[in-house]
Amino acid sequence: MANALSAQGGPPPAPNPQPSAIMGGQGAPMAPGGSQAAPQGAPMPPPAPSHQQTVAALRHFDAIEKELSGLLADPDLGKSDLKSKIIDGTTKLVANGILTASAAVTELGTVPERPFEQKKWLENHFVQTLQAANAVLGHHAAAFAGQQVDTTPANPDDHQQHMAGLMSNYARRPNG
Amino acid sequence: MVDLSGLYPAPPAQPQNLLSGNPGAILGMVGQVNALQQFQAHRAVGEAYQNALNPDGSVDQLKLAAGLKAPQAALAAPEAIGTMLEQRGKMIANSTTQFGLKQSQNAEMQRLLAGYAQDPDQSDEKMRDFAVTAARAGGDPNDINAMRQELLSQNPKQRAATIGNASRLSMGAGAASTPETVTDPITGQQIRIPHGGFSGGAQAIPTGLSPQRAADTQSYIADQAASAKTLADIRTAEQAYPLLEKMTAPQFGPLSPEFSKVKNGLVSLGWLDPKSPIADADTLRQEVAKKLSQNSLMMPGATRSNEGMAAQYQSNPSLFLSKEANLPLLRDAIGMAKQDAAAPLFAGNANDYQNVKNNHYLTTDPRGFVLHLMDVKTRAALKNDPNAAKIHATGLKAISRGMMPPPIAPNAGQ
Repeated sequence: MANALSAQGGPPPAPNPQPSAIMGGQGAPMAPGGSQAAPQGAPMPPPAPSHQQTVAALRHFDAIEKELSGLLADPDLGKSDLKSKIIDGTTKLVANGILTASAAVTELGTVPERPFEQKKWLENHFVQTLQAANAVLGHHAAAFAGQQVDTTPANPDDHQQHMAGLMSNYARRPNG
Repeated sequence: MVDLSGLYPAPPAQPQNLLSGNPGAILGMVGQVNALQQFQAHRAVGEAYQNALNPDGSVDQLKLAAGLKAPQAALAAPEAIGTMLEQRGKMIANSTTQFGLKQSQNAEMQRLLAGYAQDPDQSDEKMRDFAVTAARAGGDPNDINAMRQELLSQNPKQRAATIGNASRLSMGAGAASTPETVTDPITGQQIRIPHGGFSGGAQAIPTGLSPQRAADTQSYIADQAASAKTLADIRTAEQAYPLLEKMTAPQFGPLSPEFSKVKNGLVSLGWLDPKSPIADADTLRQEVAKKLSQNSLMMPGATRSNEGMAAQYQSNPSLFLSKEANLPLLRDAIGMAKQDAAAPLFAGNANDYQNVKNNHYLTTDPRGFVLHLMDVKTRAALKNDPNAAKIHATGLKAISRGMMPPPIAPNAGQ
């Protein structure tokens, strides 16, 4: 099963919106593009996701969460090997265009063999998915609070494209 | 010579009090005592702050004030009280700003929820789109995601109801209008008024109103009272209208089957004295004409001035006019009175009421309030009126607010 934020590959750093930006009180407000001037030497905060990217992220997390919920409700969870069911769920996500095949292979490589560890693995992914959904939504809200932005509906057919853009935002980048 | 002094007790040693020592040393001692007192006072103030500290890190001002009453804190009390008052002022200013910000965010959230509840597209994709927009409008992302999880498990119909409930909860009891099915006043078809379409009812007045808000509230309350009176005043005319319609028929007379029906109807409305011996149509017409004259004084505008009353009287429908002019005049008068009365009812609350009221006259048409009094032919003719859409919308609103019964559908035989 994929990591909550791993549509395109390895897990990127989770978004970490600045508290001051959330409160909208102190410090320089974030620019509409979500980029914020960082002190020299400090790492640049990731640009905030656009409306379409945030919608795509929620779609991504919803799909993953749905598969995880099904597996977590399985009566055999923690008792017998669920790897084949996890593979089925991941395959479904690839078929629906939520995950790329390479990301799916990478994630499946991390699935433990022992049933109890599989349970922990699924639970961790479920929690990460919820947290990631909150973090992306919070990051977008903090950067664009009260602003008029382009709200053209995100086309589900462009899901991979939006997710690629989002992931590149959160990929670690050198200063400047 | 023998020293006898050894035989006597030694004189008591001179006590080393503050007045007997070196003056420089005394000053030093005073300084030490002052420093000690300052230290103890600051310590007492510190303890007062510690005791007044809430678990969330805020300072309980009342506890702090009580702590500063300790005698040890006396020296540092003026400074501490000054700081405390300054902090209290800042807290009030922060709270006021935060309250204003939250109020704006709530208003925006209400608008979004109402819009979303009315949206026929309740798909998963639309819900995500709404969630992102709501987060930008100030909603807590965690709450929004929690609500999204709940909605994801529901079908689109349930989603509309859930959002409608959330909208009504955030808007207060005033918005608790349930969706209802009404008869379209022009087409006669059944139409469902969607969730959140119209809000109304009780409005909670927050404390600390801004001048604009206070003026809006005052105007709204005044109009609400006037609205009730206007509706009560025109009720009789509205009820009498169908009877007058019959009375102006060419074949109407003492021998016509309608005569006693109309007479009894007007008696029951209080327009005629039940004991009065009205035996012919002319006497009946005269009595009704008197009543219509009295009715003119109740119409809005009549009581503003003598000129207003005269103008109203002149233009008031009476049976001295022909049926063609008379009934539409009465109907229009009822429609205009209802349009006035509808302003606070349609607004539903005092938010920005003065602007809402100004727009009310631009967005409604008096004819929309009296569609039930029109015959099928007149209603059908309205379809070609340049203001047909406005009349139509007004009619739907009037029905939903209970200001007008749904007109009988054309296929019902009227």
